Amino acid sequence: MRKLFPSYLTGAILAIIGYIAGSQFVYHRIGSDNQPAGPNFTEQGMVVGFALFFIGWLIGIGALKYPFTWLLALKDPDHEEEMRLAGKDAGIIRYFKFTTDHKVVGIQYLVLVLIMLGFGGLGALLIRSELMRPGALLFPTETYNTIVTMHGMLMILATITFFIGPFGNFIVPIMIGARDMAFPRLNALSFAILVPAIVIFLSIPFWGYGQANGYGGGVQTGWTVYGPIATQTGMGMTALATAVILAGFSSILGAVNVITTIITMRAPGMRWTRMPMTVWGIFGAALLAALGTSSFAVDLLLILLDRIYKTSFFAASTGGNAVGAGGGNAWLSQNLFWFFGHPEVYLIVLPAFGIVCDVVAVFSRKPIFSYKMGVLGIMGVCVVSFLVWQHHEFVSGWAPELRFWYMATTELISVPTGFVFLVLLGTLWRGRIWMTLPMMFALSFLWNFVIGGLSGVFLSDVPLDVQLHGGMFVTAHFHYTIVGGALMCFFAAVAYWFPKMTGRMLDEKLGWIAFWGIQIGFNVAFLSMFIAGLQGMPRRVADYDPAFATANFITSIFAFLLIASVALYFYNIVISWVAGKKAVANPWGALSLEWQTPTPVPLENFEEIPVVTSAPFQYTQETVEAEAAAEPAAGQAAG
Amino acid sequence: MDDASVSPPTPPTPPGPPARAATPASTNHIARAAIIWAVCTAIAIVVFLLVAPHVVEWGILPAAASNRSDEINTVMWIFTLLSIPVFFMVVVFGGYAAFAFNRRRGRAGGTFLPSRRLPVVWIIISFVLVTFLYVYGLSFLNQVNAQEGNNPLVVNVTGEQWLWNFSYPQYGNAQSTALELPVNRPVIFHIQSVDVQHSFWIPAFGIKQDAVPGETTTISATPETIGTYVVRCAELCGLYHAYMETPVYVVSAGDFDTWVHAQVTPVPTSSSSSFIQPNVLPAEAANRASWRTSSVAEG
Amino acid sequence: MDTAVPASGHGEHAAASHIDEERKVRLGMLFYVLTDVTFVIFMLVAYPWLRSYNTDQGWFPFQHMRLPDQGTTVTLLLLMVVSAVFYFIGYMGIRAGNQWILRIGMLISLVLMLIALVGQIRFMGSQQFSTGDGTFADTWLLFSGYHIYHLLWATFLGLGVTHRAFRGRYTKEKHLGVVTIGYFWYWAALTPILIFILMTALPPKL
Repeated sequence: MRKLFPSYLTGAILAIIGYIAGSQFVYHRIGSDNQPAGPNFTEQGMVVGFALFFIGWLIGIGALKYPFTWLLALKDPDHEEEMRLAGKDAGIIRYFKFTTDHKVVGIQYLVLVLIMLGFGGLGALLIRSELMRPGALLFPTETYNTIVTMHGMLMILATITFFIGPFGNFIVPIMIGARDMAFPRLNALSFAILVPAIVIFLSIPFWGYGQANGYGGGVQTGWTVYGPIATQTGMGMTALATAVILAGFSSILGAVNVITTIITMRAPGMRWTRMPMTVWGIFGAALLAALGTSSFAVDLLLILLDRIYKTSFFAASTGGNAVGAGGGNAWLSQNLFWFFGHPEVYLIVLPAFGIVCDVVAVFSRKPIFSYKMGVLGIMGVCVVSFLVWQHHEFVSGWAPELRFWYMATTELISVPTGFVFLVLLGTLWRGRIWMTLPMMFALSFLWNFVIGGLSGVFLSDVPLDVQLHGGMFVTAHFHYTIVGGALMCFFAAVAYWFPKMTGRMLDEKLGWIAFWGIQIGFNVAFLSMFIAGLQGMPRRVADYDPAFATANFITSIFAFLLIASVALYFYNIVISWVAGKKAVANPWGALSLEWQTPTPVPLENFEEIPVVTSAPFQYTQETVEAEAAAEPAAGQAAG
Repeated sequence: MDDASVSPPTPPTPPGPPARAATPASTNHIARAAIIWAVCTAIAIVVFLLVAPHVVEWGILPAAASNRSDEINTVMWIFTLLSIPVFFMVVVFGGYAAFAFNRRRGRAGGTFLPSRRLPVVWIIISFVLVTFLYVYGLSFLNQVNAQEGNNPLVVNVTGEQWLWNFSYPQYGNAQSTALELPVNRPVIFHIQSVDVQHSFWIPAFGIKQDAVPGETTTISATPETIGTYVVRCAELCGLYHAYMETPVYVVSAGDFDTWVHAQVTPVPTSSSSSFIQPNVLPAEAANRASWRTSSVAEG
Repeated sequence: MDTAVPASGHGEHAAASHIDEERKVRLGMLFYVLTDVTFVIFMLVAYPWLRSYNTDQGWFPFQHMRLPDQGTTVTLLLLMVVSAVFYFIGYMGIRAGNQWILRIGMLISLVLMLIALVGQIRFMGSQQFSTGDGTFADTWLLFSGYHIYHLLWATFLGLGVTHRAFRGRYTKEKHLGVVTIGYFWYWAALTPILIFILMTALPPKL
């Protein structure tokens, strides 16, 4: 029992106390100058309640101990104290408390991300059920819009976390030969912040239904939370804004930690040109997260102020709907949003580029083809991605004279992306390809992401974008990049590093069934969604013209297949984690550093810090031939 | 990366009889893959050219009813044609490698090392492609902006939750909730919003422009085919966004004159959704006024 | 967003390794300050944006609105700048190995900053305008509020640094905490200057 103090249990208790205290204090003592949002609270009370919820959580899990030991100039924690905090000999309980070991944080992130993806997938299931046939099938539009918003935002939060979180924390430090992240306590803190953020986020559907403002409860905005509608919509928006600001805070803390780790903690001999591509991808993503997230945080902060203090950053006073004096500008919201929002999709996909290069190199038994070009591709995308956000404004009426320039940058970004394809094809070519589950997912990245990329070129062209913008074509396009690109790589990464992270092998047979279900379901569903988009179906509608019925019906049916297959893959992860085959230290014969450590990885990763002497994945003709000679003639089975 | 403590990679597979002899190096894999690529591309292009003229009648693209539609469709054809070889480039070479160099075929592998030429060629080709697409798109860019045209009809479009209002300032501010346009006369839409952001989209005309509160945006098109089309809202605007659409009637100039003169008295607002009545019809008037009335009083 | 992270070291055990601990902590803190800089930049974007669009004359709707007192603004600004100067003096002191210069520098800069904090809160509360009185008022309150948030962090860090300075935790060789918190301190002193340029130096009325 003593081990539970402090743990997430005490954190949860203090968090709930904090929320009740905060919201009730504001309601009873401060009162409100905006309309009461419910029987017992106001929106200001909500925000203060959430803030105390967050602080109560941090106090409860003991995360604030060290800032205060520093403030009071108490004894600095020595190595033993650090090791205790990293969960030495703590057993399973270390996963349920504030633990600084980067491997524990990585596992915590992995579980949280899977939960988030699960809830997001549930949203997808509900959306596709509603859209199966024209007409209002399941929900009122109020509920539908809230589901759309939550599906979008939750999936975005999950996808921006699912490489930097689990793999950036667990794998990257070992890959570069470090004992831990640069700032282990901040690392634990960045996860600890994400937990209350997700809890607050998942509470969105419970706010504000039946509120008599005529605009519905929940959040009716879509994940883009554009200007005035975010001010106007139900109270769920306050929860969303608070949750996403917290998640952004977590993302920034995590990103800076990753950047610092990669810059300063590489093992001797691990030059920049010797890092595996995964490290490059996560480095680029962390740069984007550190520099871009603030923009969205500002957007949400202004929305919160618009909502609870009646400022008018986004609401113009036209038409008698003024909040305050008016004078706000909706384009400000869009630009703040997309300055984050566009780098953000590259943030999702850059680690995917890196991971897919590494996986392909390992399972082709070849060095990465044209390594420098791959790095150039990743970093090129990273830089150019800050210059393209205006393509989301092509039809907004803002600065149409800039369109030629943003059209150029948007099309230009396909050039560095193309480098990655060259690297992948070159690595595959004349390799000695071992078709494992991670390799299959990595290959599926090739054909899925090329469709995503090519449809992106369609959208980058202004005359076409004018027709396709805001329609299902866009939805299909970004699902092709994020699901077909990033999520496939996430599945590849899970399968690839599963032995190292859990000590067990992921079940191949179940994995293969899930793989083909995912590929078929995904491709048919979203190719058919392209058709719906070409036909002229707008995004985010609860109901649609019968003209789009066929395309939507196909999409729904195959989306169900996709969701079922992903569920099977999740089941596979759980069942293999619990009862899978025990893994050896290096089941793939990979050459990067994380596979040279024993499984499970000991607390400080390395007995002795290794010295790196060559670029990654230097498979040579001799080693590969020796390996081939040691294998059974599997060719008979194939031929 | 090798370090002192790392032994050479040990495959996890159990020992067994030696693998089959490696594929003879003489097989020209690149040529084979290139042929497959060329065949796939050719077939796809032929199929595309056969299908392309019919997509409108099959309902895959909206009816082409304005001067803008044809341009958009042309751009779309060119982009698709250029995408086909790129797509097959990746899929065929990737797929070929996955099959031909599979270790089940007993290859030893590891011989295709980077040449300096290939990346350079790749960069040049991708730049050329992108530049072509860019220049090609650029040549259409000006036509996206609002054109004055000859004797244009001005229509003021006002988006509000959740319907469109149209007024015709050249005809005594005649008002309507359905859009009626004369054929073959340029139209300029001045678009505004009274509450939140909407997006004015006529798929058949190939035009879309956001309605931004507090700002006026413009877009233009010339309807060229008589018929009934639809205006949709393409930006999530709240509760009944899905039902925010209204018909567009493109009629002859004479019919338009008759109609527009009959509209001089503003018609009562009614959401004439073309396909479905929502379960709960928005009680617009009451709702619009009640939004944050308390704060208006204080501000 | 926020940056202020107590920059205590990772522990002595790694000191013998190849990792440059000082560089690591300094780099980390610089990046955290950088994220705060980006946050402030995006927030400041609201000013030129809303001012140039001036939708429905909403920038400055009440021509007779009383503006924030310029004297107080400048005083608060100077307090922050002088505080940063004293912080720098304290830092130079410990670099030369002089504990007392460090302590006095830290103490004065902390006191000045506390005065600035209290003054800023009172100043913000005493304005005649409120949220909803036009976007100029809104942006002014936004920037002032964020500056208070900066000052609260600086108070926490300043208390720690000063306390530790008096405990003699910093030496000529090892004073990383003073350096890294200095990054935040100088940045916190720079923001009121940016806000001053936008809010006071540029005439608010169009």
